[in-house]
Amino acid sequence: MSYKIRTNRFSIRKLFWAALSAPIFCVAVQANDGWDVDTELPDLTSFNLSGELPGTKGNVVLVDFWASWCAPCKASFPSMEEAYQKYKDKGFKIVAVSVDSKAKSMESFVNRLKPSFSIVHDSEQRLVAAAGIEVMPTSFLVDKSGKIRFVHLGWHGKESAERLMAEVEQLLGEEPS
Amino acid sequence: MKKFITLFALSLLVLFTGCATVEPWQKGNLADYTMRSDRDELASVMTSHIQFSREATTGGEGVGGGGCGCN
Repeated sequence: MSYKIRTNRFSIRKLFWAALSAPIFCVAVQANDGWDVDTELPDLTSFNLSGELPGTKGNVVLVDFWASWCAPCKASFPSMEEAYQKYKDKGFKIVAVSVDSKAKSMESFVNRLKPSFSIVHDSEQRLVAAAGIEVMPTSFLVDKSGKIRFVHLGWHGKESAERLMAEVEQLLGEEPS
Repeated sequence: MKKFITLFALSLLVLFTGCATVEPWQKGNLADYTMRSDRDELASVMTSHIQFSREATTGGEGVGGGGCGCN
């Protein structure tokens, strides 16, 4: 009889701990490693993006994830435009990937600002899920050999703009490995 | 007591099945203007007015008045 009670108690305790550890397990399963520094940039053409992708081979490329509902993302556009204008002739490309669920939201912002760099729409949000970003905006700076070298989390105004310029200049000065 | 713990553990299990992670790129609806609690300025002022009138207090909400409920 006493053995039975002990077994029941043990089962209840197990159930209790299982219930408590369930959310931890869920978070662990959902965790996505995503893109990281020193890894190769995947082929962007395989993600069914709408819009024109620039040739990235042999160029320094900034892949920026943004959305029209994200204020810091929009704040980063003038500085990205400035960097693009300054370095485009030296082989600097920008791929601004909109993760808006509606193309109309993206278009109204793009039509207002008219950036001269490439804007593509990740309507299925496949590319952004593969990148596994943690904050909006996140951008990945890729060197001439296609390797991710720098990751920018968020946009912090002048500080981010200066960092972007310095990193682009550094990568443009390097020879592809 | 045992029944209570069992029920509690089971209810936790049931509750946690509803957990979902909203990814950063899926927050468009949450960032929408209509999700703001202060999107209607007139309604915010009216709510503050009713509150300070009922509590006979004022200040800290950006609404003028002496707390008498007469303004």
